[in-house]
Amino acid sequence: MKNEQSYTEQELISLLRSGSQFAFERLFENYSQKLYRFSLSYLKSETEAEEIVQDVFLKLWENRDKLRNETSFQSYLFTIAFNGIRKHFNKKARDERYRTEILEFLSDENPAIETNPDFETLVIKLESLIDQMPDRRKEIFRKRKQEGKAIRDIAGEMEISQKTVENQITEAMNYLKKEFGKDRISGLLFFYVFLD
Amino acid sequence: MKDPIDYKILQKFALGKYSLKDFKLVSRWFEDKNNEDDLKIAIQQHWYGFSEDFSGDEKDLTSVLNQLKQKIAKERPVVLFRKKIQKFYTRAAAILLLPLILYSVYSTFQKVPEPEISSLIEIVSPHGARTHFHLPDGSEGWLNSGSRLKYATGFLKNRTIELIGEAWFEVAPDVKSPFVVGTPHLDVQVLGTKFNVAAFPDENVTEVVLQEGKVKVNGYNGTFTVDMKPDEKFTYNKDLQSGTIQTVNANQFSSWKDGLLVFRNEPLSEVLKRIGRWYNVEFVLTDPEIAKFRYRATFQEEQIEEVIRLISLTAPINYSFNKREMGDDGVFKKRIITIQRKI
Repeated sequence: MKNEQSYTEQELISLLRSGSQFAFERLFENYSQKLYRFSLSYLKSETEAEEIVQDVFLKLWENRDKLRNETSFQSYLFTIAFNGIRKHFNKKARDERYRTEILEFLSDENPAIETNPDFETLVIKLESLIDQMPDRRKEIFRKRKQEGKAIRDIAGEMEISQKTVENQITEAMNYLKKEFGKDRISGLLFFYVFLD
Repeated sequence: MKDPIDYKILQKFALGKYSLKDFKLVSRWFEDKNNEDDLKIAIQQHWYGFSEDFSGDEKDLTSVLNQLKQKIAKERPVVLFRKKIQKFYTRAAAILLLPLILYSVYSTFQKVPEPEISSLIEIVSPHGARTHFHLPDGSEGWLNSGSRLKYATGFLKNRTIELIGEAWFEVAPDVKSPFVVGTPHLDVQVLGTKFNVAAFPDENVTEVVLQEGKVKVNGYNGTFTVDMKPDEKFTYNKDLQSGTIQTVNANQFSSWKDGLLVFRNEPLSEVLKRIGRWYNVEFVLTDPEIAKFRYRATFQEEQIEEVIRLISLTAPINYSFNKREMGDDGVFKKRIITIQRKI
């Protein structure tokens, strides 16, 4: 005798086509973990990976009458996931371009930054260094680099001179340069360069 | 210009091992429309090769599922039947139980605010056992052997329950919230009543038997709607995708909840199937002809050995209990009983 887990994927898909919420939940159980981890591997963000899972299953429900068979089901899931990941990825890359730009700038003096195979650690390090800056400098720096505001506008907003804004940004960049030039990072980079 | 995709870099990126240079490359592949097809093929390979077994902790995605359920529930045509339900209850207003239950529901709402995120509650009746259950709205019932029920914590607002297997329900009336039992093939919409639903995944029929009151059975996507009267049995055949109504003695179908196994002129195939589910055993028939033999009996709280012995006294069969085998996973398989024709 079969047990309750024994619906084949084929049966679940045909049940889903006829609007069964039960089949929908079984398919969610079968695929949500895979979809989640797959999305996470590209997006590197738990919230965004969850959003992909939700989008994929919502679209699956909305288009349930168009489903055919098992092969197209697998590739159908993938296609919705792929489109979602692509959209999120591009938005993310745009939002976080400032980090890449800063790291790229720093790599002019320390070329190994660009080829360090642990980019994620560099980003985390960068963020924590920015966080450790004095409040006012941090605010000016983020407005300039993260939000891309003009120096003139920042000066106006904060009621300070443009010169002060420029100085704070130069100070911030020097600080980052110094931090990235010393200790672990360069040691680590040296090690990787040798491995290659 | 097309930018060839380096699979190795893409793979390392997915695994979390990548440099700033790699990241810029991957970003470019994602951004460039010309690359979309190549990128899709590369990532699709990753998808198909993506291991399903994962040693790490599973991510808890219950809240994602619940949000999805809320979104898709809006589509279901529950509202259509509101009018009829109200009409029924103006007539049934004399039921004494009603004000009491409404009060308790009301006071629960007043005191305990519903949690924002709902989670699922599952009631499981293991093989060989029957389980008595109480629901938050005052409804109760019995869950038969090898069956399970699921409902969300927001049950008082949305009285929807999911059933796999067989259950007998006695539903507390509530004008504001219809009670719905969902099975893989149909919904039973309840208007305060006693009834039995059997929806086993290994059978191609789903049965609803109504003992008292009134229920509405809805096929998915509006394929059919049936109003049932007491002592009626609705049988939906998923292969034929059609249903039939018969007049029956409803008590016979709910006797299992009182620990009785009742058979009335039923083919041995049906008898053995129900016994198999009840005691969690499997039958092997060596001669298909014996399956057609009709049988009438009532068993109460007997051991499986005794039940089979009693059947063999009145039916033309011999039986033998096989030794229980251990499966590859180290768990003992179901006990198998071989049934032969008596010569």
